[in-house]
Amino acid sequence: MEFDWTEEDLSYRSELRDFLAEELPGRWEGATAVLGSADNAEYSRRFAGLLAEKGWLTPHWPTEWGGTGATPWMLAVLGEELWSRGEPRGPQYMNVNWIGPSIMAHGTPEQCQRYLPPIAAGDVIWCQGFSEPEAGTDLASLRTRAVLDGDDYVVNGSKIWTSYGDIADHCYLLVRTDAQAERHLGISVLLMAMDSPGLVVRPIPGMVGEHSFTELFLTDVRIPVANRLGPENEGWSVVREALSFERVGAPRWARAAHVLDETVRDAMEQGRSIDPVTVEAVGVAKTACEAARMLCYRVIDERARDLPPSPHANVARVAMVQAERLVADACAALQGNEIMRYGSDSDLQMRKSLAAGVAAGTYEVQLNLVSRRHLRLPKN
Amino acid sequence: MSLDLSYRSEQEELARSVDGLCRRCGTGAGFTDSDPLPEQYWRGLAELGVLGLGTAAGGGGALEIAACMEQLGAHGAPGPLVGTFTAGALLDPSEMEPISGGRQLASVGQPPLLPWAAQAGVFVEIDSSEAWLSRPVSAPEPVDTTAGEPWGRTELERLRPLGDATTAVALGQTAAAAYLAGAAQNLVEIASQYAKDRVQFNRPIATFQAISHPLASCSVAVSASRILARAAACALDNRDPDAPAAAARARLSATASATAAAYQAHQTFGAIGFTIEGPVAHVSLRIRQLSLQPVPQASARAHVLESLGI
Ligand SMILES: Cc1cc2nc3c(=O)[nH]c(=O)nc-3n(C[C@H](O)[C@H](O)[C@H](O)COP(=O)(O)OP(=O)(O)OC[C@H]3O[C@@H](n4cnc5c(N)ncnc54)[C@H](O)[C@@H]3O)c2cc1C
Repeated sequence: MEFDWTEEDLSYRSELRDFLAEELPGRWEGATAVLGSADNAEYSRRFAGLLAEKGWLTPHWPTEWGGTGATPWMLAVLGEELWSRGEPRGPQYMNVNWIGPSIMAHGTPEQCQRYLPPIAAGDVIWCQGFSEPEAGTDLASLRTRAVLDGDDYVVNGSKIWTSYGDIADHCYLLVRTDAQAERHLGISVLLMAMDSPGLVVRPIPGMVGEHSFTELFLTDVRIPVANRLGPENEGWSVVREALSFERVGAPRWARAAHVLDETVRDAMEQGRSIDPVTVEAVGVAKTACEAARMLCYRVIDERARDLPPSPHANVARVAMVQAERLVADACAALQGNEIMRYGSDSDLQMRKSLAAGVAAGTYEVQLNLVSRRHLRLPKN
Repeated sequence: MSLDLSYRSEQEELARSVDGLCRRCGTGAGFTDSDPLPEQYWRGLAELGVLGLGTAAGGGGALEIAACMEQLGAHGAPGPLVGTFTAGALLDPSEMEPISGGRQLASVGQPPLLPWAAQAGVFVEIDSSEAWLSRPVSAPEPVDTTAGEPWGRTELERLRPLGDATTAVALGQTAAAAYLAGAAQNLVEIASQYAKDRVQFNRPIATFQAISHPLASCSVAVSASRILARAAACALDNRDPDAPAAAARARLSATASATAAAYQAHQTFGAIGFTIEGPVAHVSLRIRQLSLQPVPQASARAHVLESLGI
């Protein structure tokens, strides 16, 4: 691992920054608006379209699918710059990071032809239909059932906590196709159109932004067999691989670091006196962001060298959660009452820091994985 | 030495009435309503005499306030509670009467961003040592806050000095500490219950020490915070010179333990903790909000250091 950016990475970052400075002047108001809300959906489609035109939306994809064959580092640069500004791609970061790559790795030529070009064009929203009321951390206990009937699966069950379910075009859905098999061996991935008859989407008001969650109720939803991604009953390994892309694909530390920098700048500009304990909290938070950054880079480096997924991804994810919380606490100390303005950067950072240890793989489970895979401690 | 920090029976009875009122007025999971201050609830507090506690007319002292605030915290109950008790230690009886009666709200803080300014009728500017009866120079610009309270931004014009605010601040800190400790205690309790009920991997999640140990450690911190809040209240009632430092210690302890309890309750509940209607979100946001006001952490720390001669 070399701690240096190539010329190419640097010039990409600087071009990207110029573009963002123009496209997202000042503090993009969407950054403080609600991630995943319908308000942002329109904007994020337009924004992702602009990135696509410049060849920046899916730079790391192979050229046949609209990429430029760039290194994972370029994707990392893109992720950092966009997350630090509140992720103007909205939900489309998931398409680029793991849904597209998963389709590329396991899809039929027809599936690739159908699903990848809209992703590369920045014009489609996907949601992730994994969790169920009884299957959270224990995802493999999912019960939404898909039964073969001619050329279709008939799907019944429900999904919960589906972010963007109310604005998505497609859902990357996990279902049980063999109820008898050992639980990890009876799961398949289906690519479901969100306008399928029999699917009802209900918003669940959340505190990390109104309507950021939804619940999906599926009653005899027919999904063509042609929409199954990968072999039947092998969905667990398909999805495990997909999520290993996701662990560091969302550089939340970049957002946290940005909010911290801005908050410090504000405090300095307003000549607010900062007591020594707060100064230390800021220093600790900044350090945690840097630590998370470096630990994420280690994972990206592995990917750039085509090494298999390693526990370093879990280490990085834990470090990111810690950094997010420390930043939220430091901002609270720095800003006092001002943090409480609903929708302010620091208010949103505080809300996100509360959710950081739950969304996208809980903190406890990441620690379990670090213990087992990184420290090689026995299970139970 | 004797250490009796349990509430006396009158205090417990008052606290039970507050609990009953909150149960009647809050929605199932607590105060998750969009109304920032349900009228029936605030009037109910006035009728129970809670809003006048600590004043000459209202009777009662810091311990009564602490007992009520623990209950209010447990429900994540809304309103300018800390401001009301702080004002009670500063204002004249005639100025205080409509506030204790629940007909007027007090905004107590430091301009320009003032608590409950959008609805307040009485404004008190306060720093860590002095206070002034004040009035806004212009209509406060409404500011919606983290916990959904109607704050406002305005400059204040000072009308009358209210003198030394040390005791009033200490009372406010103690009230805030008791509220935070009550909120944290409740979060630890409901999270523990949920951990016993929620099954993943064919076992209650409480059987994972990744869940039970952090809850246990929050519980230790919260126990300390509750005792410190009661100790501060006793010190205030006894006019102990150490009271301001005791209040500052209580406040610092309660802020830390409540913030930790909120993080841990969210971890334990998983995604349900982030739903507006769920049992955690409104309490955790109110903990955040209260932990920052009315006097910032830094001045509480300064008080503690001062008491040590530093
Ligand atoms: C903001 C947000 C967005 C989300 N978006 C989506 C989405 O788009 N699609 C989707 O499918 N899901 C989504 N989720 C759901 C998320 O994946 C789940 O919340 C997560 O998997 C945890 O499940 P749970 O909430 O049911 O908690 P539970 O599984 O009930 O866990 C509760 C607690 O127990 C702990 N625990 C459980 N098992 C163990 C163990 N073996 N060892 C130690 N501790 C354990 C957990 O770590 C957690 O702290 C989202 C969640 C959030 C907060």
